[in-house]
Amino acid sequence: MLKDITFGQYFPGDSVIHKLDPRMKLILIVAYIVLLFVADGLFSLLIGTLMLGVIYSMSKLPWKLVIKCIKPIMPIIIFTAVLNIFFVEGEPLFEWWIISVSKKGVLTAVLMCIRIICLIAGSSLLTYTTTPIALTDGLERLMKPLQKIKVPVHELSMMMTIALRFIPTLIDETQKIMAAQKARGADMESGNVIQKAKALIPILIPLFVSAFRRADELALAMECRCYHGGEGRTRMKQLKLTSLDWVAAAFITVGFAAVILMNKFGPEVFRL
Amino acid sequence: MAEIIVKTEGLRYIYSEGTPYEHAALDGVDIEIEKGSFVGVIGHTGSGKSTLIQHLNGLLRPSYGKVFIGGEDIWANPKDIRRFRFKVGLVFQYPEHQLFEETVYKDIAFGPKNMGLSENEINERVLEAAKLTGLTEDYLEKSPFELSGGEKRRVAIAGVLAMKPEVLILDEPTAGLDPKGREFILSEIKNYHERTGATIILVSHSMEDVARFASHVLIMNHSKAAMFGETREIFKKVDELCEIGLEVPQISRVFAKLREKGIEVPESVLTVAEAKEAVLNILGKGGKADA
Amino acid sequence: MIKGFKMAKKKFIEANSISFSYPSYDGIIPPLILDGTSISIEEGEFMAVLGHNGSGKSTLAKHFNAILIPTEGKVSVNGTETSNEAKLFEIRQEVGMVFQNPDNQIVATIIEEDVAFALENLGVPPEEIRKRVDDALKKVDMYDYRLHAPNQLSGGQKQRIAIAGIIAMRPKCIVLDEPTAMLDPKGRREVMSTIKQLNEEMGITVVLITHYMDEAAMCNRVVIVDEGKVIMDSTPREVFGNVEEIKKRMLDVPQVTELCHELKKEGFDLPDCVLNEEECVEALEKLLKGGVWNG
Repeated sequence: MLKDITFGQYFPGDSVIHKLDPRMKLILIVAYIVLLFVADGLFSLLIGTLMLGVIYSMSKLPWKLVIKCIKPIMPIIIFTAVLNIFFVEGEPLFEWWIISVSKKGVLTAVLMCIRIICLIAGSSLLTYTTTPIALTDGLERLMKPLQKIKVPVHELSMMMTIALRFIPTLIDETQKIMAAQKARGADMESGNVIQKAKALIPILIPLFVSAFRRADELALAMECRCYHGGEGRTRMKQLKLTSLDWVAAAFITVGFAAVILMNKFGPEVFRL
Repeated sequence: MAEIIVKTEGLRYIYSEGTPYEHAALDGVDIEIEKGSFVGVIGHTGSGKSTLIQHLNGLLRPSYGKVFIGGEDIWANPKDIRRFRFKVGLVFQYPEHQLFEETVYKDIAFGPKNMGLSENEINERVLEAAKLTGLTEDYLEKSPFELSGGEKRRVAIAGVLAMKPEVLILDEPTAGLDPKGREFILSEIKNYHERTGATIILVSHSMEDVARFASHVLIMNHSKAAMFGETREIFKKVDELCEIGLEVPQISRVFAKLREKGIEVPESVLTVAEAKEAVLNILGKGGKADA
Repeated sequence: MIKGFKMAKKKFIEANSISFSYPSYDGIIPPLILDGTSISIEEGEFMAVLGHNGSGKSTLAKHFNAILIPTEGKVSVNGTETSNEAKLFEIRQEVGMVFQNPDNQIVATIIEEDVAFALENLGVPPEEIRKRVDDALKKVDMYDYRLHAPNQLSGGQKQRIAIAGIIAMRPKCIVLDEPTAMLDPKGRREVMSTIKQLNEEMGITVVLITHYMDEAAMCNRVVIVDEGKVIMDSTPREVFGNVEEIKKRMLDVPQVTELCHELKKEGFDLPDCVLNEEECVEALEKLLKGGVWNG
């Protein structure tokens, strides 16, 4: 059943990566993405790839998850590669008719592909090992300083939390309404696009009505529990950075330093 | 023997087959329901009763086994399945949540329209269904969303009645209503049963309601049909029902306790009226105190 | 009824001839939902409110924690008037409210975070929240589920979580608006026994709006609301003793009450009002074994 499946991509586990503070994870993933773009040669990038490999194996996630998250963006990767191979100008590797492929083009293509794969795999690692609620929480706390410039940080995160809470409920509800309309002979499978779109009306209207009714009741329940925005609010769960988080930060810092050193002193081949 | 209208044969239904969430929601259900009977279906949440009723009109397709309506295997030709949805009308729990049209009239007409009936026929059926559910003509042009909870539910039930189903299934039609609303819906169902001779399948948590209206009772437990028989026979089995964790009507419990205490009272008392009669019989009319 | 005993107790909620209607809109003056009704609730009471949909009972209940303010008359909670906006959160913390639909009152995606919600809003320090949340979860017997997601729970369990979310505020009174209407019998039993326990063990005042007469029979006071007014207010025994009056208002009485009433009408000597199975069995046993006496 749909509702049995945990929403989002979260993959339960209790590895050290799962245990990291969501704030630290968010900061480190940003740092890692920067690192991927700082790396200007194949060797530097390989350091980045290696780091990801180490983190993945520490997270104890099945390796097939990497493939699973890369799959949907495969067309983009191929597209980027083709674009780079054929359109980056430089010393031609070979020429045929009007097509010319340069050495630089091939190198750019390879580097770009590695970057994209690492970027997607890295950010998926974040969503695989962090529950959506922890992510929202981490984001809220990281963005707290923005409240000073009137960004409604608390409100945004409250919205996110409620959305996460009600998505399974609404999925459930959709299935019920669909079944009820089918029982009255609604035909949702046959017909052309317009007919199919029309067949959605008996489902969408009750769904909206129900969502509004729920919103109304939830707002009332929240008022009864003294909700009045983010002002003066405390949190039960205090996020605390542990030594684990600092080790992780150190790991990324060391990786970063290694990439910069490789950029500076590494072999001059396979560079842009 | 009367004609069998609903029949299931080795009915099994496996949820999420092939995933870690796999479980049998129905595990070998064989029942036969006679035409014109009024069957009460009782069971805990998760006992399989909701899954069962969704098989009877072809909303769910059995993993194994067969469903027959009026002797026809409903999945013999899957393309033909909608025909059985009109034969077997299903009113879901909280059916008012499915209303969507601008007017009550249009909403009730949704089913008949899907049946491909003529305008005249649709009009006739809508009016008839509205009348059956106590909705006067001035309701028909109102928006269903401005009605009270109880009225909305009547509109939703009318929407199914307008398809004139031979078998009418209702999943807890009185849930969340006040006593007045409950009484109204139940008498409406009884009325439809008597007027059209349709077969009624009523899923309910209220033993009192089932005892009052049903001729037969089906007890679902752990994805199986645990008991099926005449209402009186089923409610005699107080101990067995208790074992499943189900109750019998309050009045039947009282009489079962009296029997335990060695007082000769009838074995199966289902309603207050029956109980009163039983007591009067025992004491004899002449036994009245200050008569 | 022992009047002196009742008077000794402290009045906790007092509504003084209150009326309520929603503001007029488009020139249409909406009908009065509450029509000059008065009621007072004492500390530690376990009170049922009956009445059919549209009778005004939910509207009345919403006046008890300042969700609604009467258009006429006054409501005071523990001596504070509900129109006093400065005390709004104090009032809501003292009088908690639980609603019918278990799904629509759970805010968070993890049970324990939901129970913590009210305390977080009130700005309680984190360690204290933790303590109170664990406490509340244990009281409703849901501690083992603290890390579950709401959609993994049954209706009865969700409703107990909603109750935990309220009692974590340490309220003096809890108002429940048809908390069992959407539950199956098992869920109803769970929730009712939880509510009873709150009243008996923690001394929390309970106002229970319900359509189930057997639930009302468990309370020590029954109030019937009709057309925006309190029309009956007494012990369950006295209220249900009035079988005819109740039936006239299209409400129900428990089956056993009705049976004994019917038999009494036939002239048999039975107690005035029988409320539960045990009493009924006892009364009938006497009647059937001993034949007839007093005759």
